[in-house]
Amino acid sequence: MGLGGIIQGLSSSLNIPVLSALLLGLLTAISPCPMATNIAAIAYVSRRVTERRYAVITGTLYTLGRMLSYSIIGILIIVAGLEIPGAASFLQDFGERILGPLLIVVGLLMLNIGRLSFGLGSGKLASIGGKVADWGMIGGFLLGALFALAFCPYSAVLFFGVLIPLALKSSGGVALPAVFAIGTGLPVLVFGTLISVGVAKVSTWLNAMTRAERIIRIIVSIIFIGVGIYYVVLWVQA
Amino acid sequence: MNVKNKVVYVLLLLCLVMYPLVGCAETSTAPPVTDGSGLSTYQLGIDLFGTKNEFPVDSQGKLKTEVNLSSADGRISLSLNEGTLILDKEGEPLKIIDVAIDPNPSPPPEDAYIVGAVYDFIPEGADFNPPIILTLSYDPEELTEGIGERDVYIACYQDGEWEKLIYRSVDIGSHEVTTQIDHFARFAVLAPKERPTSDVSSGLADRVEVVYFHRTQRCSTCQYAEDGIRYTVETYFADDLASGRLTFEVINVEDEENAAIVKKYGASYLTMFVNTIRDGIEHIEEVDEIWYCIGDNEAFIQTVKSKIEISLGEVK
Repeated sequence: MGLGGIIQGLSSSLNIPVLSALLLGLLTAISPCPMATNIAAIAYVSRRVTERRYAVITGTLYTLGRMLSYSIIGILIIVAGLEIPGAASFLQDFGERILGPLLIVVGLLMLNIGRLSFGLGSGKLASIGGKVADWGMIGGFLLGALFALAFCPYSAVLFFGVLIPLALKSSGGVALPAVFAIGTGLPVLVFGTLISVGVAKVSTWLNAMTRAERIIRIIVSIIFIGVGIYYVVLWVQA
Repeated sequence: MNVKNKVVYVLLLLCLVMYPLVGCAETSTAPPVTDGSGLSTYQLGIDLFGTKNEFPVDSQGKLKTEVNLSSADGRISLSLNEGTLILDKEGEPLKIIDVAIDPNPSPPPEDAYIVGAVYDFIPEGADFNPPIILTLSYDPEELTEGIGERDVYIACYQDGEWEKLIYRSVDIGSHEVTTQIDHFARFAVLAPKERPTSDVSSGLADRVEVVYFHRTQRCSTCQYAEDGIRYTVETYFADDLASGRLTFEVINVEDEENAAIVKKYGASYLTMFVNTIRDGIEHIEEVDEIWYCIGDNEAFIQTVKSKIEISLGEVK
């Protein structure tokens, strides 16, 4: 039996909506398409190794960002009666078209290409790039909120097709999208922290903390650009 | 700059990047097909306008491998399951399959016209058990105005007349229409001269419609689900498809031409629906259980199969 089967078995036998929502979130997080945004997020969360608690706090804020977005969509549908087809179509369009270019731009800004450029306007670009790179924890929150809005086909099914119907028939269902968000953010928090701690250990051992951070920043930028290109290619292929 | 450092990061991050790629490959595997027998073999040659290939067949005419072959220009595709029994008119195992364009096609029936060429499948009378899948592409520009791509169908010409094949699925995205055939004859894509007045549901006989909705952008999960549903429907419900008790359609929700049916089902993301039509009343049900079975072929097929069986039981 696959993971999905186990999750379905648990959900239907225990009949605890909160647990179902959490497991659905996990199932979403590990499926191929949402995984791509999660890699960018893990890279972002684990990139600052000089500060001990950075990864944990950023990972938590990333999850909170996702909670905000999913809750807003949930409230609009469950409380305000927003039509699911319209919302689902719009958010999948958003995921397909906007996310790729946006990731590439953020990646380029973090690389701080402004500094490499030639006089005109470079000061401005450099300062934007610096700001994006320094957003740090707040950046984690924004990233979470944004990534949650970018629905892949599979995450759209699990959210609109399975979670929302469950929330509509459960008492206190409005809270379920937030629980779902915790499920989607958990792998990022856990793996981001593990990688951060691992890299910190290794670089202390090699005595190269600050240098490490510079290299990580470049690698994170490249991952953003790579994931961005992945989304753009998917979109262009269609 | 410390070289060791770099190596460690690159390795760590590579692991992360590789994960979803591996995941994709795993989840997109098509459902398996059943095993064949182990008798002595010879080769069956298939020539689709120059795309030639040979496939092993045992001495009784049973195909020993799955066949999915398309002509180079993509106009024709044939798909045969492993274990398919292929015999000629005399009941002897077939050695060669060929296709030609009919230079003097017979006129179409009065209410329809031929879209593209008429294909002559040789040898005529070759027999397939179970039926094989034939896909023909068409040029949407050849359709007269007002005729939708969802109205085209494949027809078979034999004994002096055209016969519309009941089993049909149209992929509007790639402009292809698919049907099942159990023997060779002449086949062509036909379109009605006038749009059928009563569309799908109204006042029609009891039956079950399986509809799968997807978006233009396909993902590995979307493709997996479509392949799995198609496999299940064609493998376990071939008789119901042939008799028209069951229909299967794949529909792109983003295509404007599908607006009516998309609205009817309220589809906006990947969804499989089973519509049980009983006494002229439609009972539409969304099948969301399949989404827990992605990657688990057996569970996926079982889920789809039992859903359809229940619905077919209701229309009996």
